[in-house]
Amino acid sequence: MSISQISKFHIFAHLSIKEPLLDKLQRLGCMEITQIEKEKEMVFHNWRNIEEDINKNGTALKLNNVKFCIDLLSNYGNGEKKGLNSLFTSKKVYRYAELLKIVEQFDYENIFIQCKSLDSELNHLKLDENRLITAKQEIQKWQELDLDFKEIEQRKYIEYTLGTIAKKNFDNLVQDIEHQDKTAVTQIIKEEKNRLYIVFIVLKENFSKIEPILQKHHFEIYKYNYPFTGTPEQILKTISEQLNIVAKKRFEIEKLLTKLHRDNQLIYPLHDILSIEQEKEEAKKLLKKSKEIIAIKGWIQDKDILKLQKKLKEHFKAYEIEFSKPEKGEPVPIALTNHNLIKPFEIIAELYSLPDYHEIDPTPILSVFYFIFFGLCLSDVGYGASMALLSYFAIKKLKLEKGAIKFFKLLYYCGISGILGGILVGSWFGDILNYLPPQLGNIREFLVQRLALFQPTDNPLPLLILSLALGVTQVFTGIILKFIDNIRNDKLYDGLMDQVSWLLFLTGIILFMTKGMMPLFMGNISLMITVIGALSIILTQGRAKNNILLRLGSGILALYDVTGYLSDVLSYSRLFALGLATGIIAQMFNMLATMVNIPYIGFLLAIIVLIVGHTFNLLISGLSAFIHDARLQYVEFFTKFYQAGGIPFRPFSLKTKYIHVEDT
Amino acid sequence: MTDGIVLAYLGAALAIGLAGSGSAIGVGIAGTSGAGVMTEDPSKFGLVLLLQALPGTQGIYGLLVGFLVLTRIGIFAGTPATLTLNQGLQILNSSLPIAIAGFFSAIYQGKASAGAIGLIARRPEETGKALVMPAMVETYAVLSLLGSILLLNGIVL
Repeated sequence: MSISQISKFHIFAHLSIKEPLLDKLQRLGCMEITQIEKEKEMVFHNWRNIEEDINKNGTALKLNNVKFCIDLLSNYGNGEKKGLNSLFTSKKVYRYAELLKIVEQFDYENIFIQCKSLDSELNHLKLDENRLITAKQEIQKWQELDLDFKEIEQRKYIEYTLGTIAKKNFDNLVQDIEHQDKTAVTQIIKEEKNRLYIVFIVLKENFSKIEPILQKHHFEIYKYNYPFTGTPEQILKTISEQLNIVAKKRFEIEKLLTKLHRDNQLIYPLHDILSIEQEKEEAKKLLKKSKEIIAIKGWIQDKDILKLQKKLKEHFKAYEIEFSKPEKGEPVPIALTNHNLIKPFEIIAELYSLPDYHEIDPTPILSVFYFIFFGLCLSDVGYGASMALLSYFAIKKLKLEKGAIKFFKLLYYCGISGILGGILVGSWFGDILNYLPPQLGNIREFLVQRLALFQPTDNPLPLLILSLALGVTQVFTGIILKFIDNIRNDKLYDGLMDQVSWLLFLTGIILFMTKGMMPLFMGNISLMITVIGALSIILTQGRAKNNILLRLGSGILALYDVTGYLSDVLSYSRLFALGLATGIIAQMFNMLATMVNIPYIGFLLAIIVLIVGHTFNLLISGLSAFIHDARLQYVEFFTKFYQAGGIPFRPFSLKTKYIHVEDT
Repeated sequence: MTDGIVLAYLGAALAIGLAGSGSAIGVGIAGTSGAGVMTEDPSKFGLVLLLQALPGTQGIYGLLVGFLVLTRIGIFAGTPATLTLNQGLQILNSSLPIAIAGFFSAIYQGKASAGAIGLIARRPEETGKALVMPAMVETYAVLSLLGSILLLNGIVL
């Protein structure tokens, strides 16, 4: 129950069985292949990489092309579902041998060519469409102009000038122009918030005099730049006709793509078989070979060693395999093996970071705390039950991936924990039991008064104290774990000085604070423990320093860390606050529902209010509980002992994205 | 209606209004950066939404305290209590922690969430850490909620 024991292995095999061997290893999927480093493994002095035959068959290129097709096609038709939906749809199952055959017969090149040409057509159409839309927007501003853009450019005697000007400059401009040339005509085409769209009509011979005035008033001349002819009205008509044509063409192409997608569902297994192939190619880069022999190095979980040896013996002869324990300092990959009951809680630890190979797996202890804390945060029987039921249903009825099942199991446990928390504080969808008919008063009485140990709304202190006590427990557990870790690493004295001294000091303080509840003589004992603890901290915490004064100084300074522990413990008050919040928000929605006093439909509306409200509260409280619970583990608990930073164990296996491969 | 009850109303209004405004700003900040991330990778919608929702809790805490105040002075029961000026002030004061800390923490949590969204955009494997950053800010909202509840609980009517 903890971090899997991992061994290093070396396989030496004859070159002739390289491909079938790798194939077998991949299908077994229980080992991670790593790079053989020349410096360390001196045996491999004259060995070479086997790169020459990698990528000869162009797997990477093929895979890229298939990915391109899938990216394009998956937008059309509902072949494979994306995103969240994929959680709820089961993947198709193929047998490995059968899969290879299917893929061999599948003519992907043809589809790739079709996809490529359709895609480029589609892109062209999109470009056209954008161009047309921009033109449309521009010309719409001149819609009221009753002149032909092209034609007015060719007039012999009259100069037409189109342009825009800021509203505030307009009057001055008109004055100046009239001053200069009485024959000029100014016409406003369109008015916007701050700008005016204007056309000037002036004799060609006078234009040179007008131009500087235009510039002076920041008049922006508009140049028509499109190939369409006619008045703006006519042009707009042409544009919308063309837009229609583009849309029709697009529709046609989309229809083609949908059909292509429907007819070529095999592209998904093809993608996966190629990526399996690709992974094998990548693995080859890690191997070394001599004239006759290849060498494979990697990691394997100890529990899989026997299986591996058996399978290899069945299929191959010309090979040798040896196992050895990892040396200190080697970057051993981490796989967690926990009892099925607490396995889901690995998610929480993994979200933070995997443990280092040489330390303790925090999952077992974390799972207990996480379970308890979640219940206190959610603390409602109704919500807990909904969560547990929904996730139970999801696990049983939906065909889920392994990872998803693990997650729903976690939710299931959290739901159960929520139920327990709810019973503890007597919260059933908030105070919904209060609305039961009076005949059922006994049930209500039993559930809310008898069963519940706390009444946080009437008397918050007991539950608050429980939260803080749990905090003390977890912080102490953290320190103790660090102590154990120190002992495991032969650092008993460090453990005694760093952890035990603090444990004494903190225990003393707590006993001292609660001495009112204990027999009298405990007061003195607790004082003694505190003093011993404090002294040992002062004497030991500065031991890194050479100077005796500095040593004492940093020892005394270390006592200041007590504020850190204090704030850690206070942080657990959130358990109480979040739990109370869930109950009160639920209560709020219950009350809202009773306020809907409309005859006949009031009842229905009330039910809608209840469903919507409670769903909302479940989501928001569940999210809060999840995150705050995790935060307590990460910030208050892990910081005491957890080094983390482990790299996950990623076995060389048949990894797929769209399908399941069955292999026996 | 007594003066006291007016102050109690003010307290409830401040708790709901200020904490709610803070959440609105915070969720807005996180949402802007979330939308930016999703232009690149729409499949992150679920995670982004989750992070965007985080600064929203302050508004709920505010509403919660407001609700507690209103229940306490018997508004929902239909028989508002007669409060002295002093009692009204006590209630007003007890609403202040969540009103003030709720407002500011929601805004800063929004910023932290925006940062976290940026983090998961670039390094999706660090989701766990990204979730914890905004939760650190939320601590103070939870503490002020706790403060408000305890203060309110201590008032003798």
